[in-house]
Amino acid sequence: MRYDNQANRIRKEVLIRVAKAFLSDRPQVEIDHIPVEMRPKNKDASRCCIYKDREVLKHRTMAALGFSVEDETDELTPLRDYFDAALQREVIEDTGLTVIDIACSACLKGSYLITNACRGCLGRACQTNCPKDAIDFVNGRAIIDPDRCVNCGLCLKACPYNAIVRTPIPCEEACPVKAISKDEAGREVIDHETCISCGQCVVACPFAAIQERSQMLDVLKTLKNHRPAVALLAPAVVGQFPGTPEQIAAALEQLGFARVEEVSAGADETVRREAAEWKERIGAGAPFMTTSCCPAYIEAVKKQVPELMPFVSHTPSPMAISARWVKEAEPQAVTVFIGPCVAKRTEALHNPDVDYVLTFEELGAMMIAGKVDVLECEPAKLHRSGQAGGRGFPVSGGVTGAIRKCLDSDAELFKPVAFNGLDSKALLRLKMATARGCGGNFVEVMCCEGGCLSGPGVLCNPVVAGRKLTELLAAS
Amino acid sequence: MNTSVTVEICTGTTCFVMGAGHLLNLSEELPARLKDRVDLRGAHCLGVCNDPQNGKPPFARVDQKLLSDVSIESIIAACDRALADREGGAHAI
Repeated sequence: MRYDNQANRIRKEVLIRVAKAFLSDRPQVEIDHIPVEMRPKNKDASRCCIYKDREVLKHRTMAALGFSVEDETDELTPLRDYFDAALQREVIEDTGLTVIDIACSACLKGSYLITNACRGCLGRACQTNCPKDAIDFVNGRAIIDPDRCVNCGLCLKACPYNAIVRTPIPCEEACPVKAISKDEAGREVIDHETCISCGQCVVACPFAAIQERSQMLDVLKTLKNHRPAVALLAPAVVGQFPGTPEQIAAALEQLGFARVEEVSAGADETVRREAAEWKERIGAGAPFMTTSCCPAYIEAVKKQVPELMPFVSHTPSPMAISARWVKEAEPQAVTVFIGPCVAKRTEALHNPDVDYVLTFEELGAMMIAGKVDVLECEPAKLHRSGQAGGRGFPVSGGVTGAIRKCLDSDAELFKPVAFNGLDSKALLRLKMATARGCGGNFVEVMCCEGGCLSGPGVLCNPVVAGRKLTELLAAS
Repeated sequence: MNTSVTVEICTGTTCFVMGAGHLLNLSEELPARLKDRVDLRGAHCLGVCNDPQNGKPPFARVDQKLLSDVSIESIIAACDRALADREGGAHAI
């Protein structure tokens, strides 16, 4: 349910409608109608009324067109103006996540709440066990004084009626770097100086109040203008669409891409270079080296644990290597990385070889709007396919396994440690590792628990995708 | 007597993108009471998404009955209903 819920489906529906509008004969009219068509008169509302829903949908459409909701200066600017402005956009200048403030429910602060299941019992175990004397009894019911409460949770454990619940703030709990917090009105605001663009909050928010700024329109425009576009398909594509990888390649060609290259080939090169770099560093006496392929982890190092930087591998990511190969051969080609990752947009922003980044959600929206059914496509050729090592990158432990295979005689010295998922505790452990080591000499860090197959932009249940990857690796 | 219920989850691109990809683990998420009683068929498009009258994707068919905007839980509930109907019918005979 983490990935597939109504909030997620509404976000995808907006993307599909934007892509359909772009491909239609009168895109400006279609774009303006999106909120009205999604919440027509006399139909149910998701919130208080259809008018609020429509306003939220307008902001969702803005984000789907690549704009930040925070940048809205005139609330009366129609969507068509944003659409026209998006068509004028030549380069992507910013990729930060955007919070739709009116969609944010301003979740309750204070994690513990005494519900009306409280019977005001004689035992008062909650009060007795509270170390901060934060529970009072008013009108025969326990209440928590938020100023004294330290969120220890002892009252919840003590209550014999299960009358005390913990009410989390999903986005704040999901954020590994505490980059999202409440403003005076209780609504969430992202501190972009701290944010690592991992996208965990996007997945976590049950109101879908946090959105990515899509680059889908930029890609659609590139394809329409017949500029030669090369799709760089992430290794995590396994299981993300029906049909075979060759059929997915054909679907991409039908959408207008000149050809499709597998980033797993770039990943194989990352493995070769990273293995060589590891040998050199460890040989020179370094205590350990960490991977460099996860862009959210790299942002976290830059912004949260800069002292870790000297330990991070200098090897370029698979995306960077694949994009470089394309640009070396065809400097005029437009490179579009397609994967499950939100943070890749930030990595691409700093890499001139990568022009655009799409998630599988956005590619799916383009396929639906373009009436391309993968299962009906005749297989096409995938260019620069990877080996088992590179193909195994999108699961936690995949990079480590590939490096180990590459090391041959040095494999005995290889002591890997895996950080499967990044949270504040993992960041603290990494920080301490700079002084005291971390029990190994090769550290693999994946921000998403499970690896890229669990990324924020996936379309397939990670368990099913993982099984398909295992089958593919057995056949590679 | 046939006691298994047929479930077809549409795997056309539209349904897959809108959530069917997350439903493919259904066989492993079935409760014990439904294990061995669900015949899960997949890997084709039901061809119903073009008509808005049918509802929203993802679609599934449980014993010929079309369901829209499905989730794992709504499919499980439909299986329970289908089996209860059949057993009810058997008693009537």
